This record gives sequence, structure tokens and C-alpha cells, in this order.
Amino acid sequence: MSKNSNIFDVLAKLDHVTKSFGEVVAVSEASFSVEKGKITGFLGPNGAGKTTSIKMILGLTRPEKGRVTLFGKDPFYNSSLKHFLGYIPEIECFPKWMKARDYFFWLGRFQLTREEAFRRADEVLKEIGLEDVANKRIQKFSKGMKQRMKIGQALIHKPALIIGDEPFNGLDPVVRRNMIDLFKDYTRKYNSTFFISSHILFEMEKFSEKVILMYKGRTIAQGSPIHIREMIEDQPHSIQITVKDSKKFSTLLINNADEEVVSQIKFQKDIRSNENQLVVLTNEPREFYRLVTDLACDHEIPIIEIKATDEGLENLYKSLTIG
Amino acid sequence: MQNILVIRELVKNYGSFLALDGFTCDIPKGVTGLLGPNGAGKTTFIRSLLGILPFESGSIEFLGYKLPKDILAVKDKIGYQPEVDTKILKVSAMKYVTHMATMAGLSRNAAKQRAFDTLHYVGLEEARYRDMNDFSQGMMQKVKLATALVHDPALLILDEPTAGCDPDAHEQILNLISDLGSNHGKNILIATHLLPDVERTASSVVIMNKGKTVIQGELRSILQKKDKIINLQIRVNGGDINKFAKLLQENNFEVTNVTETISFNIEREDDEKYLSIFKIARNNGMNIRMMTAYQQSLEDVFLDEIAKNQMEN
Amino acid sequence: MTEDQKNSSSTDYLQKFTYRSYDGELQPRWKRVLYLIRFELISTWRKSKFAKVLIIIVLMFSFFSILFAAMLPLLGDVVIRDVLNESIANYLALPLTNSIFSNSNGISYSLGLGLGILLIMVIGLAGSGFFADDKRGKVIEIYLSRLVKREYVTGKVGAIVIYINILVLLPLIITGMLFVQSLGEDHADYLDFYFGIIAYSLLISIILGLFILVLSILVEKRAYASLIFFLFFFFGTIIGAMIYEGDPNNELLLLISPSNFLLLLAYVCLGDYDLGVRNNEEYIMVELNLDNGVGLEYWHVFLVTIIYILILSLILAYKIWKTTTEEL
Repeated sequence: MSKNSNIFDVLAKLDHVTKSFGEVVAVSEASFSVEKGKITGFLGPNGAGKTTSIKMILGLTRPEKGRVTLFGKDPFYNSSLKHFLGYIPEIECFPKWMKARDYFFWLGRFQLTREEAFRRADEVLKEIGLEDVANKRIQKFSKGMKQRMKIGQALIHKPALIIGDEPFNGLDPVVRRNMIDLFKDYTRKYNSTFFISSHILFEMEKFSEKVILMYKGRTIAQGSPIHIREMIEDQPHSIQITVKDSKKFSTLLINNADEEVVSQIKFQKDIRSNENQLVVLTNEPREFYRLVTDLACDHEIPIIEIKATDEGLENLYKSLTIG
Repeated sequence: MQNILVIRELVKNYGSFLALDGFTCDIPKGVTGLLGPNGAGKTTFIRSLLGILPFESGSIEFLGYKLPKDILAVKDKIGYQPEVDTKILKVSAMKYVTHMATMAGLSRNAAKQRAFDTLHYVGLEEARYRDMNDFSQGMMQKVKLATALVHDPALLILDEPTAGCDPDAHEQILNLISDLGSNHGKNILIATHLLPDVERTASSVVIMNKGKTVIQGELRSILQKKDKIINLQIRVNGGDINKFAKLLQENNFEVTNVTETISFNIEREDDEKYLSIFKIARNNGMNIRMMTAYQQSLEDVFLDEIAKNQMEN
Repeated sequence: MTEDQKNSSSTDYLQKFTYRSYDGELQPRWKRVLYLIRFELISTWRKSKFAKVLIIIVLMFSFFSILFAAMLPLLGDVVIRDVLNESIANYLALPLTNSIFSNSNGISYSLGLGLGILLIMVIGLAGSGFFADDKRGKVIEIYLSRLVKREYVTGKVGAIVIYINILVLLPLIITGMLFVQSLGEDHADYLDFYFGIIAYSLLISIILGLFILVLSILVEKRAYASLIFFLFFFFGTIIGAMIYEGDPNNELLLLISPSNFLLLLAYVCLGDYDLGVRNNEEYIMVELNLDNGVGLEYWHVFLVTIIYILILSLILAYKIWKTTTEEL
């Protein structure tokens, strides 16, 4: 389709952007880019600046400093760019008296011909799993169904970029998984790009190829979840080791390391399996890993598990923002 | 393990729609997750338990009380945190919680003191005199939790207690739930779609679908794969990952996948094998920086069980 | 340890700042209903600024009754009870056509200004939110997790009945006593008068209270309920007047207009069956006797009152017992 023929690798970008409302600085020297064909997660607490950043990408407001680009142009002055956008808002946005299929049809008519609009309406209804209630009023839908309608309306015209504000809010795990698969389908079939803002960190890390972390107006990290993990793994952090004879191993660690390599040791048991565990805080991770392997081999101690305790975006987020 | 709730063959109709279809389960002491897709009957069950909706047949036993005849005693011993935001016009959090405490049977003075205590406990000390209608989602959830706690009930029923919360509030609320469950002997039933919350705080789960129980039991046993063979993931320092994968294969390890990590299979109880991996690394100038078993998450189990359940029907 | 140390250590303690349990007693269930009534009264007072303004206006005008009380001895040759009864009855009436008078002499003896319309507005504004606000704020579920339905309803009904009584009973009793006092009469002779006021006030509070509560539970927003309440009273009176004028010989038609119904209820409670109605075509006052075996009788009024109360109660009970999951 001709709409997608203007191909940029970076669909949206913030470049050292600052934006304030009166005295409140909402976004402070933030930079990130949304790349084509990927699902990018946009994470951060309320007040981090996510909503403001999205508003700037949508062209609803302008930055004070820095540049915001959408499909290579300034979104504030080029509202025709919005043809290629889909937006899943947080609030409800339907005329409640309308029926589901009609709603999709009329939205589609903004950009598609009658036949295309009909076809897409039914297609999208099937994709979100609401084909059985196509002729029912949206007013009667449950929260989860309305949420799916919000997702559907953003997909009707197969936009190049879909921006979602908490799109999985209120969905049960089965439906959530289906919607994620749907997004992945769209990236494959139509080369769509998704930019999803969310609180639900564990979900994001599973399907986002890239995440952008925002906190108090600043962007603090950008990259694939694993890569971000690796970038901080060279910084001091804690490591969990599951070993049967934890006492013996901890003694070995203490005797063979200084306070930089082993600065704290905690004893605990795994909550599920009840196995002995050590949690070691280290300021020199590379040294520490080397030491562990050496000690295990030299003293014939089998280690069942070794991993950094701050797995997952939740903990990553915590470690980057608190202390 | 003792059960605080015993439900047998609970049936509830809404006209022609069968919401609870002979629902049967046991809820043990401690923290239990109540899971299920939308429409599974969780809310209907909660409302039947609270006596808000009558049920057609079946029995509910709670701490020795039987419903529906002992409903008044049961209500006093349960604290409910609803999913929706509860708002009363122009009322501060403190007034709201105090009022609801009197509705639960406390005298006005006791209610004030308990409201003060619980609002502090949930972390709303500064905001408690502010109008509730201006609260963020995180604060709202805390008010609702305080309301559920104020009369010190034996059982707390929390419906999506962290929905809409920013990460800080989310963390705080989960900590409160863990604290209440572990240190203050509260029994808690959490109904939620955020399964990692349940993984973190609960010791048992009940999974429902279409008005019936699909599976219930201790979280530990539900998550543990019974297989002898487990799948490990590994990352190394000091060398190329593909090289290490080859070395493992040469040593008769069954490597299944190599991306940024290596996945391979190993027998569960074989300590010698674990040790040999470290030796292989060391002998080649490398060290192990991560080695962990692929854990089946609650979400995986949940989706599996629901899919199985759909197919059976 | 020394003796001192041992003694002091028995009262020392260390308690972490964390969750505390509650071992106190629980109040009897009727007390909870009282707490609910109290809460509703206080919050309804807070909720509507407009209602507060109206109440102040009503209070101001009520002071005029002191003036009227002083005027009473100057009225000359009239039936005193008629004057008193008409003044009381017109408290809540709309000053429109077909008002019902305490006699058929053609003279209106009503002392006091027609505040009816303002008070109807106040009652509508106050009671409209009782259920509507709870539905919007989604607190019904929480209430019902602690109270049973009958306690919840009793609390609401109790609150609105007390509220209306404060607006009606207090001013009327005070006015009545002022009148009797300024006439130099003995209060003991007027006990049936006072009793009539009390009975009227109670019945009014129940009928109007139930009506606004039914509206509150049927609509989504409190504004709709108060609007319907007011319009019902206003247009009902106008339409009722028109219907009666179409067939003035049929006295039963007088019951249609809400304003007239309240007037009739007042007279019946006060025991005054000898009334007059204005016939607008012939510009004369026509006799209306509630105890002559013909036309409208006093027991018609009571019957209709009871039917109203029953119907409203049934509707309220039905809506409460059948609250759907959505409404919760």
C-alpha cells in the first residue's frame, strides 16, 4: 500500500527534548527513537513524562527545546501524518450507542473505500475475537471487550505506527496473550511498528524487542531487555547462588576475596524448593564470577544455580532509579 | 493444611446465564490466588461469599460458619477490596475509611482510631485528609485496602489490588500483602490477572473457568515440573558463546538452542554434571556468569490449563 | 539486676510500628443503621450549596410567621381554628388555582408565605443523591459487604424522613405554638392541633421521602432525580388543576394535583373537613365537605396516602433486591 512506501528506519524520534507546563518540567532532555517493524515498550511510573512524550509525537503539543520527528517530519505542523498513525488511548472513546461493526466501519471510511471499510471491519472484529458481538452495542460490552475495541480501532487502517497507552489494561491473561500475538502478526504481515506505553513491566519484557525507560522526565535506558541487563551487569549488583553446602562455600568466598569482590553475603532458602541459597553483593562482578568458577572446580562443589537477583525489568528499573 | 473456606457445588444463575456451575474448591490458610479469565465466575463467587448475591444451591463454609444462615457473622469477618474505584463526594480518605469502619460495626471512636492506624500502615499518612476524588490510582488502591483492613477481618478478599498502579505503589502494595500474610496471620484471597503478583505473594492458587474449578493446589507443586530432565540456560564470560555450546555438545550435553544464552537439558539430581559444566568452562579459560533452570511461570501453567479446559468442553 | 531494674523492666516494652489487630467489641446492628443515617444527613447537607441557600431563604421567611402571629388577635370575627389550619396546610402548597381553603366564605385565611415550591426543591436536591451518588461512586457493593440490604435501605429511608421532618415539623410546630400563644389560648386545648401537625409531618416525610428515594435509585445522576421530582410537583399541579377545571363537579379529581393532595392531607390530619374550593369559571368559592357522604371523603385521602406509600415501598424494595451486577 502506498502509505507504507515512505520507509524510514526510525519512525518517531525525540532528540534532547524538553517540555514544561508552567513551572512543571514534564520532559527534561529526553532522547529516544522508535524503530520500524519492532515492538517497543515505553516504561515508567506516572509522572515520568511518557504521556507528554506521546502527545508530542502525536503532534498535540510542541517541545520547548530539542526536536520531535514523526516519519521524518515535525508532527505538530504536519497533521496529514496522522493518517499513518493508530492510537490506543487510555480513556474510553466510543459513542456508546453504536454497534461494534458500525463503529469500525465508519472509522474505516475516513480513509478506506466502502468495500475496504466493510472488509476491514469484519476482519478486525475477528482478529480481536469479537465477531460474535459485531451487531451489539458497545455500551453493553464488558471492560475487557471495550479494551479490545480500543485496540481494534487503532488497527483498521493498517497504520505504519501504532501508539498504545496501556493497551492491555484490564485484559485477562488469555486475551492478553492473544492481543500480543496479534501485534506480532501485524509486525510480520504489514510491517507495523508498535510503541506501547505500560506499567506492566513483566509483560513488556517478554514481547518487546526494545524498551525505553523513562523516569522523572528523563530517559534512563534504551535497548533490548537483555542488552540493558548486560549493560548493568558490569555494575555492582547482587548474585544468587544455589548450593547445597552453602556454609562451606560462603567460607571459601570470604577467605578468598576482599571486600570489593564480596561485600555482603546473605543466607536464605528458596521459597519454592527450600534449597540453600547465598545472595552475594559484589562491586567487582567479573572478578566474582571468575572466583566462583575457580572455587567450585578446585573444591569439587556442585553449584545448582547462579544468576543475578535483579532479573526482569521490575528489578532493573528499581536498580536504575533508586540509589 | 487447614482450610478456611470450603465451597461445594455452588450454583448461581443470572437468568439464563449460568455463572457458577457446581463450583467446588478449598481455600487454605494463608495467601491464595484466585485466577481465571473474565467471565469465569470470580466476581460472582466473591459476591456470593459476601452475601451480596444469593446463590441457588451448594454450600459455603467459612471458619465454621455456614452460609446463608450465618451471613451476618461472616460479613463481619471479611474485608473486601473491590476492583472499581469507590468514591463518595467531597469526602476525605480518613472520613471514608472511618465511615466504612462504623458500617462494619466499630464504634465511632474505635473507627477513627482504626482508620488512622490502617491509613498509616498502607502509607497514606499525608494524603489522608485530602479529598479522595483527586487521588492517583496507587493512592486509591491503598484507600480501598485500608477500608478492607479497618475492622481487622480474618479474611481479606482483594480484587485486582494493584491494577493501574505505578511501579512504586505496585511494589508497596505487594509488600503489604506479603507482610499481612506472613507476619500478621491474615488470610488473603487475591483475584487478579497479574500473575507475577500471585507468584510473589501466594502459596496456593485456584484457577477457575466457566463457573468451575480447573485446578487448585499449592503454588509450589503446580509450578514444579515433575520431569527428571530440566532445561538449563547458561551464559559465560571470557569466551565465545558458540564455542562453549560446542564444548558442551562434545561432552554429551543435549544443547537445544543457542542465541544470547545456551539452552540445554540435564538430569535434575545429577550433581556431578553440574560440576562438570564449571570444569569445562574453567579448562577453557571461561567462567559461568549465569546458569539457571527455565522456570515454568504461573502464566504458562495458567494458559495451558485454560486451553486444556476449553478443549475438554 | 537490681530491684529497681527488675521492677521497671516489667512495664517496659518494645513494639514495632506495623499493623495492629483489633480486639474491640462490635456495636449492635441497629447502631450501624444509626451511623448510616447520621452520615447521610451530614453529607447531604454538604453536597448541595444551592439547597443550603434555599434553606436559609426559607428560614428567613419563616420568621415572618412571628409577625403574623402578632397579627392574629386583630383579625376579628373569624373561626380561629380555620385560620390556623389553613396556615399550616399551605406551608407546602403551590400558590396556584384550585387551592383548597379551610372554609367556603371566599376569603383566604392563610397566614405565611407560600414557601412550598422552595421546600420541594430543597427536598428534591437533598434526597436525589441518596442512591444515585452511591451508584455512581460504586460504593453500594462495599456497603453490602458490611450491611444487609434491609439495613442499608433503612438507613437511607431513615435519613431522608428525618431530614424532611426537620424541614417541616420544626417550623410548623413552632409556628403553631406561636399562634396559639399570641392568641392567649391554653395550649392544652390545642393538643389535637399539635397532634395533627405531627401526623401530617410524618406522613409527608414518608411520602415525599420515598418518592425522591425511588427517583434516586432509578436514575443515573442525582441532577435528573431532583429535576424530575421538582417537575413532577410543578407540572403535576398545573395539569391537575386543568383536569379538575374540566369537570369541577367531580371532587375526586382534586386528588390529582400534588399540591392539592398535600393540602387535603394536611386538613384531614388536622381534622378540618369543612373546606372550600375556588371555582374559577364562576369566581366563587364552592363548598367542599369531606364528611358528607358525597364526593371526596376524608377516608379517600387516607386511602390514597396508604396506596402511594405501598407502591413506592414496593418499587424501592424491588429495585434494591434486584440490583444487577452492573449497578453494583
